[in-house]
Amino acid sequence: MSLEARGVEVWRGRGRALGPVSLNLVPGEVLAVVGPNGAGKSTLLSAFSGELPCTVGEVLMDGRPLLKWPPRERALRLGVLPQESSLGFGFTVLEVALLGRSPHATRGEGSADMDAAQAALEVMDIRHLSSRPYTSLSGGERQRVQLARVLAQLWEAPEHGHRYLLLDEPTSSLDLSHQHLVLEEATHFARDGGSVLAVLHDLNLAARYAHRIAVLADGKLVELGSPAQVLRPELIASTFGLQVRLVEYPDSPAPFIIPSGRAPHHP
Amino acid sequence: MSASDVAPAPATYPAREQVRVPGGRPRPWFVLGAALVVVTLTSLSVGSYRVPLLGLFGSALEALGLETGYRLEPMQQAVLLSIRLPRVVLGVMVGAVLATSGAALQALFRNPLVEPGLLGTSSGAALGAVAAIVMDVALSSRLGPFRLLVVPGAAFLGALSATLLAQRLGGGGGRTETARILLAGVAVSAGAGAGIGLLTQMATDAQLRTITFWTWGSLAGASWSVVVASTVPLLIALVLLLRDSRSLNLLLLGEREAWHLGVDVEKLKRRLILAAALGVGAAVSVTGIIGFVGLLVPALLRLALGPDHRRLMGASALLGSALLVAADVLARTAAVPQELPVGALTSMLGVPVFISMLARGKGMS
Repeated sequence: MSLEARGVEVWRGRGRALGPVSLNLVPGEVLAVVGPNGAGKSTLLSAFSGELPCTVGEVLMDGRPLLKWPPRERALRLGVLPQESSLGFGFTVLEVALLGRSPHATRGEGSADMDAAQAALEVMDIRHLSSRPYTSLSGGERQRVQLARVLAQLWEAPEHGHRYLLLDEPTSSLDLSHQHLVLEEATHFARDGGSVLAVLHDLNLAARYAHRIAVLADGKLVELGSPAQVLRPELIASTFGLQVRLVEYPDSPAPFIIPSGRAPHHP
Repeated sequence: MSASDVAPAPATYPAREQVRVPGGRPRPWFVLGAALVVVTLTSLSVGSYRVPLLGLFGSALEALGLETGYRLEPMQQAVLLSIRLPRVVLGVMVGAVLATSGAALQALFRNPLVEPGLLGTSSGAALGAVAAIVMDVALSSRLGPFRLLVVPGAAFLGALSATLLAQRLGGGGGRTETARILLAGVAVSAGAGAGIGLLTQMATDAQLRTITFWTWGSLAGASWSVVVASTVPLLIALVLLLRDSRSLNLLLLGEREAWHLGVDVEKLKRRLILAAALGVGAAVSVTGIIGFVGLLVPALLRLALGPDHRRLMGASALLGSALLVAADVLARTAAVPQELPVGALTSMLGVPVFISMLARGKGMS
């Protein structure tokens, strides 16, 4: 029972944009995907979510090829937050969250759907904006509305199988406190038996909230393991071109990363 | 996470009833239905030959076995049944199809400035219809009873090709840029317009009334045989468009987002384009191009009802019908004994709305 990429490669023209990558997202974990710009993080997430066909290899959800799932059944288990969403029509915040309920509400929304949508808004700290038009919100508020929509979609576990939440830079527009809010919720989601794969830029956020970190560079998986195993100064220098020092804190499971400057050999 | 993780809502939050929810926005059915009834009765009654409403109700009741003392004279009855009624029925169906097609295409392109007329769908349909009429002599001897389907069929193919072409030129994967899609529509319309111009010059007067009919549209050609021939495609298109209302909401979020919410996006897009082409093709083949109904009606309704297509589509059908029938009343009565082209009237209404939407930057990405 997992979301599993088996030897996945994505080719664009004659170039390989990703892979080969084999990665297993298991229930109960938060997996952070980090890497420099252009490393293939979003490509990995798109391949993992089924929206980008794999040139080689396949993605299995709970043992069954992702694209063999009936669309609605897939949507009850797999939720995706794209890097950016543009919605130019004036839905209210609550209506956007309710749109996330559509795989559940094939015959119109019931009170369970309303409860889930409102609870998801509550969790994302935007319930006070419920009746505001989406188009009037700031970038950070919109990002939290979209995340609430995906949380509402996966609010309750399906009868069989697990829930998988894929987040592409979920904290990119958020202030510091809401960055932590989002990742705390990701941790709650995993604790309740779901799995989270999140593309992150901030290594300290990844170190603090992720159970495992996958490091991508040039479309390849260069390291996969616990934060303490993965976040080594020499690895960060070679993949990110950044010199760092690690500081240990007594009550923190992972070291804290302090940049000290760009690595000299990096272009 | 589960609902139990969430702290109970503090008392300061508005109660559920006060939150604006889809069901909480105004319900339009009564107002729009009443408007449609009023304009329909007006249209049946007024014109160069008056059909009194009292007599109309009296005759209708008499047919049900109730004597009221009012009834239509034979001449009034003839005007009502063979001229006014088919015209109103056609107006109701065409208005509904144009407005819902507009709303659906706007969701498909994720842009409120898209419309069958602006996209080139209508011009493509007109080109197909004109081509079929001009070639009619060659075709009619071989087709026998299927001849009735040739013009609407050709209009459908024209509408379909034009829409696909505009989509190819103006669209992309994601949200479509306004400028790009409008320019694609201009290109497709210009090409189709040139074709119509050439073909109408080749045609005899018996084949075509005038080129004005194809550029501006009119309900003057309505008769029962026209109504019968166009009812099936118009109703099929309407049902198909209304059935997808829910998925249209998800499409507004984005194609990827809709796919992740369980919508088969490629199938949905194909179905919408086919339904819009079928409806607009059938409409244009009998009325010519009636522009801006598909822009004006959803734009007004979105202001009042919000963007939820589960209300917007049905409301668009009702308001589209009412608008077109009302515009037709005006077209018949404003400059008696002349009849104005109804498409010019709807465009006069629609263009200012279009310009104001452009000026406010709506749909600009």
